[in-house]
Amino acid sequence: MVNMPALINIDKKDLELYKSLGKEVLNFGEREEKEQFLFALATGFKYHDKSELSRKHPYFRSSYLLPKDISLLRAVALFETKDVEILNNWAKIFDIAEMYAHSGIRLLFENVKNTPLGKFEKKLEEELIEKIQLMNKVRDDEAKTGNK
Amino acid sequence: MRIKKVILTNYRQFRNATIDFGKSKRNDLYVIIGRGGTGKTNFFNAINWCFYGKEPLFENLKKLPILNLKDLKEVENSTIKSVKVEVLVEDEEVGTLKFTREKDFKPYGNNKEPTVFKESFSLYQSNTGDILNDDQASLKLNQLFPSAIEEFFFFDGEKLDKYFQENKGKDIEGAIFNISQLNILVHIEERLETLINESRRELGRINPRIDQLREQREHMAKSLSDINSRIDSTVAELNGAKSKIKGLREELSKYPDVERLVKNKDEIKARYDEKQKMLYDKKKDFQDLIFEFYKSFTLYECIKEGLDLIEHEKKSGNLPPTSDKGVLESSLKVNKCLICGRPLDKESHNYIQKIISDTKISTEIGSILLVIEQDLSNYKEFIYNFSNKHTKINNEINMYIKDLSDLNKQLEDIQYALGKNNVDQIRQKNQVLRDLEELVDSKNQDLGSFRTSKKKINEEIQKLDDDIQKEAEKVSKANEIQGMMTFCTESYKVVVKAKEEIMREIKQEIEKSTEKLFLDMVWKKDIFAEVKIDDGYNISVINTLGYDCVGSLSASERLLLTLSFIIAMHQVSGFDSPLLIDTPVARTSDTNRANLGKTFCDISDNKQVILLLSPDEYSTDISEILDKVLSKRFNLVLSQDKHETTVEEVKSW
Repeated sequence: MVNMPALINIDKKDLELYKSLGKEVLNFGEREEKEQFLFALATGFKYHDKSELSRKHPYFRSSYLLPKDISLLRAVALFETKDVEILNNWAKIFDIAEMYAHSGIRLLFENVKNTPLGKFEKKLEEELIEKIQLMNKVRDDEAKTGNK
Repeated sequence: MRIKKVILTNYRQFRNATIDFGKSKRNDLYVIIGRGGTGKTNFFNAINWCFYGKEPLFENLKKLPILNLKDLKEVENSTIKSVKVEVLVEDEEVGTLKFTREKDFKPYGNNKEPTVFKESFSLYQSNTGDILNDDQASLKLNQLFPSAIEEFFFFDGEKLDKYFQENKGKDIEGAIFNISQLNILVHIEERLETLINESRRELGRINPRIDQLREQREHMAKSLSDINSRIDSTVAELNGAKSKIKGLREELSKYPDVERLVKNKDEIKARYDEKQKMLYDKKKDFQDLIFEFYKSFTLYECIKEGLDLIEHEKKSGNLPPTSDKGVLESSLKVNKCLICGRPLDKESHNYIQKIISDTKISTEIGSILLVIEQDLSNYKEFIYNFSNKHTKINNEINMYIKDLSDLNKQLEDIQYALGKNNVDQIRQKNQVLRDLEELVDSKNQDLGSFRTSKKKINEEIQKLDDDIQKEAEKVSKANEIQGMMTFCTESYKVVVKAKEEIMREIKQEIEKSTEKLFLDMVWKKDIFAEVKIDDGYNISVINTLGYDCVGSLSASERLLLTLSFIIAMHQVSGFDSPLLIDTPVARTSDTNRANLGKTFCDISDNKQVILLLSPDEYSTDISEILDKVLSKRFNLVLSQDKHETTVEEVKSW
């Protein structure tokens, strides 16, 4: 098995965006780089938007990733390629993650910029609550149907 | 006794003025109105000067010469000029008495001050036609208007207002003593003491042992006197401190309990800060939850698909893998079974190739899938449990917000209770109060110790007296002296006891009488219950709730209390003099002026009352009441050059 790359990268141009998101997004600025990266990745995935990095810039050591974080990155790569063999391909897993994060941080920045000051967090919370309620309803409905 | 007429000649701005207090109505009430500088206070002083040769309201002030300024110029021109004040008083028993004080002035000396050439004081008694001069006149005056109690008939309104603030218990005791004219008892007491001491000395000469005992007794008497002085000064200090405590308590009762409120405020503020920190932490937990959930939930699709795949592989029997794909591939490569070492024939080779093509997942991938299965399941669990966690944290946050709001409300209530009061100043006053209370405790201990010493000294003195008596009995010559000494000693005890009894009775009578007058005249009748004069002669007004409220009386109520006390003094002592009050209502509000007006009407029913007021003081509120019952009203009018005041009787008002 190929060794895990030592560093996780972001696009050099994104560095400013990461820095610019201060407390507005769930205390983003105060969080570890790894957490910021995963959040950006999730945002990119949310909009199914990923893009190649034009100039890679090391952002944090991959050793900071916990096993559960790695599992998440593998799940994204598996979802993306539908090939179990990718689970063993670190370079590809990280590539996919970095590309989603690259798009994600930009989308996040835009969203924050287009939301009135102080409202983003509340808006995000409401959106999540709405979605989870919907998901729970579907689950309940499915459970009922399954029971029948 | 009432003032019938006052004639002023060259006395300050009164060059030639006569004020006739002829009673024309039922009320013996007179009003003299004058603007500032017209001579109200000088009229007040003129009567004092005539009677006692002093001007109380000019004490400690740099003053103009007593001689009228216009006359002063004539003195310069070598003419002798006189200042004369004549006061005519009348009484049913003594008829009319005319007191005259006169001062002649010579021209200026080198010091440019007019020199007093002659001063005289005389009394003319109309019913006998006798004229008494100087000392004799003063003696007679002292019987009618004793100088020691002058403060009970001539008043400055300002002094009335502060009477009980300025006069401590000891002064009140002195006042009662003076007005009760107990001086004669004191003289008897002093004389008896002298006689007793002389008798002891006489006995000492007859029997040296007695002399020795007498010396010891005198020494003990000196100790007794010292301890009495210490007791007196301690009592005075105690009364002073108690009076201050009373005043401070009254004053502080108007304010909230600042000490308790500030302590509560500090405690609540600490709880508020702690709760705010908890809220901050909880909000941070909430942010973490949302942050974590966003990440997991947004990637839910991947998580679910990953788990579905693993589930599918499990169901297909691919997980966990039944053979190691890597070992099989390596065996083919070296054409030898890597498990048993046997070389592979064609059939075995084909068989292994078939197994490889059937094995979809390598052992390594299989292991990875099994590892991520646990993590992805945890994420899924977290997503499903989010709602509960979210609700729980939200509830906690709302609870903290409510707690904070409650605490904030309590802080606001405390702040409201504290109001705009100067907290530091109140705390300072509380501290002074505590210090005074400590002082009272300490002085009470001192007093207890002094009294114990006094008791011991008295026992010693009694023992010495007994010894002296025993020794005296041994000497026959001493019998006569001994008899006199015993008589004097017993008499002395009787006099001392009588003096104390009389003082106590008078105090009780004055207390009763003051209370009756005050409660009759006071307008807020449902607030006050009784008036007390304690053993330290401190006066208290007890309200219906049982609290002493003398410190919180309004200026007019204070004035009323003082008037009640003074009239009570007059009644109890049988001392019937007029009341002359300068600026009586200067410090009172319009409503209370009206109330005081009614009070003066009541008093003037059976006592002459002369009030000196400014036109502003004599406002409609009081004049509407007094004008109906006044016997006479006078205006003081100052000449244009401001050197002469004339008195005009107002004929109709």
